[in-house]
Amino acid sequence: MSSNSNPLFSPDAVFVDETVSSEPLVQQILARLDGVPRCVVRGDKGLRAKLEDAAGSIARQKKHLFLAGKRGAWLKRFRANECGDTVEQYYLTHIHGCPMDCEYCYLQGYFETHVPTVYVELDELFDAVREAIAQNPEKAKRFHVGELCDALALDHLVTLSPPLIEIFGTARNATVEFRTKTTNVESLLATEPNENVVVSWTFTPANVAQAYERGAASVQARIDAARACQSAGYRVGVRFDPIFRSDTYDEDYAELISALAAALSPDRIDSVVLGAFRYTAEMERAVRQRDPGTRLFLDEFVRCGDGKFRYFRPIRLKMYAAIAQRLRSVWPAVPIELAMEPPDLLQTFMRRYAVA
Amino acid sequence: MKLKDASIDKIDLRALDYVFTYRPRVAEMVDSIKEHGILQPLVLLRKDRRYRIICGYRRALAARQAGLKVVPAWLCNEEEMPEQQRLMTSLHEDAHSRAYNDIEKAIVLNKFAQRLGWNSTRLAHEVAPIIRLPASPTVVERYLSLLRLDDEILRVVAAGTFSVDHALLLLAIPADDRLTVFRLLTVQTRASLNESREIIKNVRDIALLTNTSVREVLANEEIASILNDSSLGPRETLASLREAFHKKRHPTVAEYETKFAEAVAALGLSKSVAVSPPQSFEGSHVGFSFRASSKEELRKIIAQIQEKLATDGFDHLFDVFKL
Repeated sequence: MSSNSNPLFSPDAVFVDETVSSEPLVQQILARLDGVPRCVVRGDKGLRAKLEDAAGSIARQKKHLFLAGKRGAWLKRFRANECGDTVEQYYLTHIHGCPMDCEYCYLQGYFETHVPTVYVELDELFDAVREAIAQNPEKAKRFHVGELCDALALDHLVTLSPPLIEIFGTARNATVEFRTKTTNVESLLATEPNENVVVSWTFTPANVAQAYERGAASVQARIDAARACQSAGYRVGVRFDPIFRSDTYDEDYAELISALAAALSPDRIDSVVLGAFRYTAEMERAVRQRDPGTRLFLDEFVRCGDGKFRYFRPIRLKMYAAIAQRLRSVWPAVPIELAMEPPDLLQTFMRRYAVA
Repeated sequence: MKLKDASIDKIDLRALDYVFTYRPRVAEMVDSIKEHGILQPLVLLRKDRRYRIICGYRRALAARQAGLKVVPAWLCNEEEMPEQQRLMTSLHEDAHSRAYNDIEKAIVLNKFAQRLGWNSTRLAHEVAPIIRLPASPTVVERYLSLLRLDDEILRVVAAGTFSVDHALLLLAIPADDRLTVFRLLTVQTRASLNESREIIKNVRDIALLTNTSVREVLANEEIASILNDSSLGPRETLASLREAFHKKRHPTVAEYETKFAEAVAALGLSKSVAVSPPQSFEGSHVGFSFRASSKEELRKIIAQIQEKLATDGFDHLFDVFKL
């Protein structure tokens, strides 16, 4: 595996919603993007009017950046049955979209445009996070930063991580997870870590990353970044999500797990999450429209109770079992969890692979 | 514009810049013209000493067939009637005199797009309502894409015997194989829209999976034997094809479905008992439902189930879900 960091995102054009043009964060971001063309627009409609509606515009839109004013909630809560646990799970909505262009990304079809959009009144976000932490303090909570975006892809521009880490430093019963496919960890490394912060990476076998993860850092570079964060004192999360079946997936994950085991210390690993590839009908439509020859949906997927398509259950449980066994051989005490699986499958899995 | 008699020979019937008619039928009009002449003048554009039709294409064709030498026409030149006005004049005259079929609607949108450079948003707002389509860019794009289909398909869409939604499904099939699949869906199987959607998706995915063409998928021995079986009616052909495609596309799912069906059959329960697996085999709960019209009938069903519970038949059934 080669170690290629993804270059820091630098947009080829910045659009600024006129209602936030004087916000300090806007000024800060524009100063960091000196020389990049900028354009003030009137809200989302103004942005859409500026975008070309020609075919292939998704890749072009992902090279832009939109700085906008937030409408709606800064924090949203996962439905309990989606997470399958008793921890209250929230995700931050401060950024919509991502400059990377992973073929399997579930954000395709989520938003009206593909322009990465930063909602700039971050003080309101921090207030919302503090308020959620303070409510029901006896209840464990987890806050996900990378649900509607990559948590760190824009961190060199937005510098969100230091203040969030500081907020969680004094939190009781609350953790924050930054999930990324980048190596953009400079702000993290310059910030004092605390036990309530988890920096997690999506890891896929190198052949999957090369085939599907356009613009993401190489797998080895992600492993190197995770090791750097561990060395700096952060707890690290390992996310095998999505997992794709292939003729060689077992060997591919053996190689990946071996590389991770060589680089990371198990006592500073928060957890490993396994999630077999899944998708909605809307996402399939969007991906097939963009690439009619895509091979992403060619395996045996079935429609599940929540409307999402997943690998046929015997197939995905076999994949989970194979990967979990390999994980247990190197990390006997690291918790292994499943993402977005129904409770009965979680129970079956946990009976076999829960930490003793 | 001046009203004059225009020589038929000077009308260029191959210049269809402002004509939206698809496969015009003029037989009835020929008889009418022979009897009454042309009551409503054509609108013609003078260009290079010849005339281009703006309004009255079918009248011109019929007049020629009726043997007329001249037709009454409003004559204009390019300065008098700019391009956009010519298209709109043609459109409004048609809109007042007849309804467009779906292919003609597509032709209208395409002419405005090609000749005026209008995008789908502008077409949606300024043209779609006139031809009785929703003012939606998505609808406009769907209609425009119809024109990529073969003429054999366009003809049945224009005739109203094959829906626009049905026809658009065929765009997912490579152009070389499209007519083969079209005939399979229509003549050979009479598949509904949803059945067609399933077949097209499976055929296309099997071709991708096996790195073959759609034609090769359909030429596969098993599929070909179904298609060539003259003892099967269209619906039976369809049922056999769907099953064959499903097994090729989802072999593991089909294997579990077969295991389940075999376990149910081995139980030998009466036909009044239906046994169903969980949807998509998600979970392990098997559904049982009874139909009984009397207490005695119900008692018999329950007795039979109790008898079977003493054997290992139900164990085999639930073993299908052991993971």
